[in-house]
Amino acid sequence: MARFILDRVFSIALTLAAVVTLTFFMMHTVPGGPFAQDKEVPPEVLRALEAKYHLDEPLYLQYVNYVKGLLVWDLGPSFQKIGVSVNDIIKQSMPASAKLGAVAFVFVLLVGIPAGIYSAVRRDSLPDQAIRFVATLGQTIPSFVLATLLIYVFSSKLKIFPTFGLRTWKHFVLPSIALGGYSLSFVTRLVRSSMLEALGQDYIMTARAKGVPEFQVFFKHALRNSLIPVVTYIGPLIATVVTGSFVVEKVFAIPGMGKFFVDSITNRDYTVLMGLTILDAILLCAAVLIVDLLYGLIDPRIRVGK
Amino acid sequence: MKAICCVRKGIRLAMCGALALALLVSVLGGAPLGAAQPEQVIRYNLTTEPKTLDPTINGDLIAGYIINHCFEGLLRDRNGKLVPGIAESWDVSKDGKTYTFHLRDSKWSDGKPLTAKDFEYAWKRVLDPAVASAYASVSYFIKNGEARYNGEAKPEDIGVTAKDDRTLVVELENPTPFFLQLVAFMAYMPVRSDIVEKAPEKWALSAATYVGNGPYVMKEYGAAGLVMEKNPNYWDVASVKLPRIESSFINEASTELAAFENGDLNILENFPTAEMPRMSKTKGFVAYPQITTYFYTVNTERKPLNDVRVRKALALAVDRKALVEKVLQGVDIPAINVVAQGLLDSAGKDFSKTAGNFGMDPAGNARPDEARKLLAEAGYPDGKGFPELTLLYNTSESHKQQAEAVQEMWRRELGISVKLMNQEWQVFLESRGSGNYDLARGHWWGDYADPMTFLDLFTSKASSNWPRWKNAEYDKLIEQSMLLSGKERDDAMYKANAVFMNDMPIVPLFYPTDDFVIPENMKGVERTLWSVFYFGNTTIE
Repeated sequence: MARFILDRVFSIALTLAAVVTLTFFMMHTVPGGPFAQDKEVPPEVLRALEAKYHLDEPLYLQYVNYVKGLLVWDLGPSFQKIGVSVNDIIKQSMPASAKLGAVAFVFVLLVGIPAGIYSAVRRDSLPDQAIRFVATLGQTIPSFVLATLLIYVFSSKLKIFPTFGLRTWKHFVLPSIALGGYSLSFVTRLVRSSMLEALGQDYIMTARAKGVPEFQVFFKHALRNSLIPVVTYIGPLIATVVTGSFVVEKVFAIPGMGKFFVDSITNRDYTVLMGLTILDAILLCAAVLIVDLLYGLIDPRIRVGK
Repeated sequence: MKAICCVRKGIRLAMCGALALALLVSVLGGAPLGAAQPEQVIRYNLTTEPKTLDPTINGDLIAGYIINHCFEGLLRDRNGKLVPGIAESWDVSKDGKTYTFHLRDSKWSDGKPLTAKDFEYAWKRVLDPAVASAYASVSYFIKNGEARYNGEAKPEDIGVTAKDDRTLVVELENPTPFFLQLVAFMAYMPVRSDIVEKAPEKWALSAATYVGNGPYVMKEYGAAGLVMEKNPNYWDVASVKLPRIESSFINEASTELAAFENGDLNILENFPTAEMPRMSKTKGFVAYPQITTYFYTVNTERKPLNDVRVRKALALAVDRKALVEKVLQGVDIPAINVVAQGLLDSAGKDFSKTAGNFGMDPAGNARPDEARKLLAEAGYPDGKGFPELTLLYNTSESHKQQAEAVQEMWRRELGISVKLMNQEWQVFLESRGSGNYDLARGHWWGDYADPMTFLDLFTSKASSNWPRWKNAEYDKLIEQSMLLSGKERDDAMYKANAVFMNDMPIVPLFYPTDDFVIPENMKGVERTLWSVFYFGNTTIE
C-alpha cells in the first residue's frame, strides 16, 4: 500500500512539473502582454513595469525564479490587481468557491444517487421516464442558460431567492443548482445504468435464488458494485466544483475563483494564470489519488498492495 | 323571538367589533409604512472590482467613481460645472501659463490637516515613470510633465510647487484653456505621502488605510462589494445629503437587470441590448451624452486604402441612422466627426456640430451615389477589381453585430467584399498598434472636455495614430493651437479638424450614450463630464 502511494505521489510530481513547464512557456508564446493599452505606454514606463515584475530577464531565468518561488508556495504578485499577490487572490476567493462547490457536491450526490437507484429499480415506470427526461435535459442545457433561467424564474418573477452574492443560505440555492445541474444529471444516468448492469449479473440471480430479500439484493449486492463508476467521476468533480465555475460565478456575482481563470488569460496576468493552473492541477491529482484508494474499499478485487 | 333577537344583536356586535379591529389593524399597519422615509442608501453596480483605487495610478472609471466620492481636487465637477473644491480661489497669470491656487482650511478623513504639499507630492508622483500611472498623459500640460514621464527630466523640474501650506503654484508648458477642468479630474487628486510611502501598493486596498479628503470615506471593501459613508471630516460635510452608498461587482447584464427589478439595486446601468426597446420606455430612463466616438480606423499605408477617394467612399456608404436604430436599438447618436459632441469652442458653440459634415449626411443617412462615384473615380466602378479587405475588431457580440451591418452596407452600396476578423483584446491591440490590419475598430473616450482630446490622437508622432496617417499641415496646426488661445486657437483647431476629416483616415460611426434607469423618486443625481456619478447631493423620496 505504502509503495503504491509512493509510486502515485512520484508520478503526480512528474505531472505537476510538466504542467508548470508547459503552461509557463506556452503562456509566454501567446501574443500581447499584461501592460498593453489603447494608447501605447511610453518606453520608459514599460521598462519600469517590466523591471518591477522581472519581465526584462531572460525567459529561462524567469522560469527558474518562478519554480524557486513555487517550491515555497510563493506564487508572485498579480500584474493586474496592484498590491495583491496570487496567494492573496487564492486566500480571498477560494473559500467562496469551495463553500458553493461543497454545497453543490452534496446536492449532486444526495439527489443524483437516490434518483439513479430509484430509476433503475422502477425501470420503465412513469417516474423512471420522468427522471430520464429531466436528466437528459440537464445534460444538454448549458450552465449559463440554466443560471439565467433560474434567476429569471425564482428571483425576478417569484421573488423567492436573491439575485446575486453569497451571504445567507438562500443565496446558495440557485447557484448550487446551476453549478451542479450537469453533474447531477450525469450522476443520475450513471447510477441508473450501472445499477441496471449490476442487476443483470449472475450473482444477483444467485442471491435472489437463495431467497435474499429484495432490499438486500439492491442495497448490499447491486449498489456497491454500481458505485464504482460514480466514485471515478467524483474525483475530478470535486476538483472542478471547488475551484469555481467562471459562468456560474459570473452570473450570480459570486466573489470566487472562477472568474480569475478566464480573466487572467484575457489580461495576460501571467502569475495568476500560472498559480491557478497549478492549484487546479494539484487538486485534481489529489482527488484522483483519493479515488484510487477508495476503489479498494468498495471493490476488493482492485485492492492494491496485496 | 327575544332569543333570536339577542343572537342577531350578538352577530351585529361581533361584526362591528371585527370591522373596528380590521380598521385598527389597517391604520396601525398602514400608517407607519406610509409615513416612513425610504432608506437613504444607493445601491449601484460597478461591474468589476477595480484594478486599483489609488487616484495617482488608476486609469479606469470604475475606480474613478469611488475616487470622485472619497477624494476632492482643487476644483470639483458638479454635473459638468466646475465649482471650487479644496481651492478657495485661484489666479491665472497674463500669459495663461501660471496658476496660483489658494487652498481652504481642510482635513484628511483621519483628521490630519491637508496642505499644498499633499498636492505637490501627488502631482509629481503621477509623472514618476517608476509609478507607471495609467493617466499620466493628462499631466503632460504641466511644465516638464511629459519629459519627466519619459525619464528625461528630474522631479524637481516639474512645474508644481507648494509655496506654503495653503498656496500651490503651477507652471504649464503652454496656455491650456481647459486646465481648471483637469484639476477636478481623478489623476489630480491629492494623496497622503506618509501613508503612500509606508505601503505604496497596499494602502488603497483596505478601508483602514484608504485616507482621502472627499465627501465620503470607504467603510468596507472586499470581493463582494464596497461601502462608502459620509466623511465627518470633509470641509463641506453639511452639504452632503446621502449618508451611505453601496457598490457591488456584478459582471453580467442580465443579473444586474434582475437585481434591479428585484430591488437589490436602485440604479440600472447595464442590461442586455435586446432589452433596450423595453428599458428605453421605462420611467426614469436617461441617456447621458458622453465624450466618446466609435469609429473604424483605416490603414492609410495599405492599398487601395491609401487613396482618399476610397476612404471617402467607405465613409459615405455607411447608413449610420440604420446602424443606430436597427443594430444598436437605441439612443446613440450617428457620428460624422471624430470629435465627439458636447465639447465647446471658446465662443461656447459645440465644436463637433459647428465643424461641418465633410460630405456626410448630418442626419446619418448614407450617400450611396456619391460613394459609388468616388469609388469609380478611384478605378473600381461598381467595386470591380477591388481587393477583399479585412475588418478587424476585438471579440465581443456587439462589435460583431455592428461590423456585420457595416460589411453588408459596403457590399450592397459599393459592391465590395470585406471579411470580418475578431481577435482577443490583447492581440487586437498589438495588431492595430503595429499597423497589421486594413480596417479596425476604434473607440475613444475623451480625457477632458476639449476638442484637443481627440485631435491630438492623430499627430504624426502620436502612438495612438492608428491609421498611420501623416500630414505636415495637421501637425503644424495642432502645434500652433497649443500656443494660442481664444478665437485664434479655435480657428487652428477647426482647420486641423477639416484637414483630418477631408482626408478621412477614419470612418466615424456613432457617439455612444451612457444609458441608465434612475427611479424618479431619486433626486439630485449628478454626473461629471468624465462620466462618473456623484451621489453627495442625492436624496430618495
